[in-house]
Amino acid sequence: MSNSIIATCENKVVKYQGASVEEVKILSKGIGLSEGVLIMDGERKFYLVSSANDIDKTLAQVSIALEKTSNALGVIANSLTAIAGNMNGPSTSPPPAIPNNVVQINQSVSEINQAKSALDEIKGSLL
Amino acid sequence: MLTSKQGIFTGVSVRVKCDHGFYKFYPVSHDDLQRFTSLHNITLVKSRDFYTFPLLAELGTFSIRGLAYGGAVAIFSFQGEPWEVMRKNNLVYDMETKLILPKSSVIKIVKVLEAGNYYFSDSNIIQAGSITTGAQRVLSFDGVMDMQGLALRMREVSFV
Repeated sequence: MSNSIIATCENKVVKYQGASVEEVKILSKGIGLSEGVLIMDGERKFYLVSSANDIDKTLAQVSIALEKTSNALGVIANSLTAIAGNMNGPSTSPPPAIPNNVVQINQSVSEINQAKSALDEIKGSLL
Repeated sequence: MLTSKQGIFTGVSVRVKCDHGFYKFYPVSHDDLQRFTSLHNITLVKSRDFYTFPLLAELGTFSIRGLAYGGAVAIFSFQGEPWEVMRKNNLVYDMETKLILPKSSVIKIVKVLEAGNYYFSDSNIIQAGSITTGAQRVLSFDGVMDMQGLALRMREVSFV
């Protein structure tokens, strides 16, 4: 009869309640910080990363990234609409909202990149 | 090293089995249990199909190196029956202090003698980890308590 207990793993070191568990076969790369299950059977010990938590985090980050992308596209569309609305006369000056729109677009790009970094981190835990 | 004798478990009162410092008691009847615990001034609790000391009944089935196991610090991460975990971590139950201790900390001397079909000792219930006059440690034994003479007749004794 084996025992299964919740443990963590980082840099190929499996820990349970803060104590390093020796000679564990890690069934993934075990590099990134992850939470998983330590299965013990006599002398044999295996660590399985818990995919449920990571999938939950992944979906949350994907949702955030999509929301930021949608916001950025909305700002671009508004900006283009304003430019088009300005093209009905002799004036060549850009709509006054454009500088502010560019700031918003760049902010969205930054937030999308942050979401990507978070996803990469989760990917590291899954490996 | 394991030494065995046969044919002594007829009409017994309380069978006493010690596995690597984990004590198990098998009384035939409830009266036997009451008399036994009263005579030895010990408290036993039911666990599975035997009685044992309260601390032993609470032991888990795995140890993690560096963390407490029954109050003692485990030196190996290991999964198994409590007596297997105790063996792996060189632990025994100390009846005097009611603690689980490293077997190396037991300094009691015990005489184990051979007498016909069984072995007996000069101790009522041998403290696991005790050292024999032959400089061996008694880790396990299996015997019956003679309620008349208060002697433990053992058919098996193992040393390290």
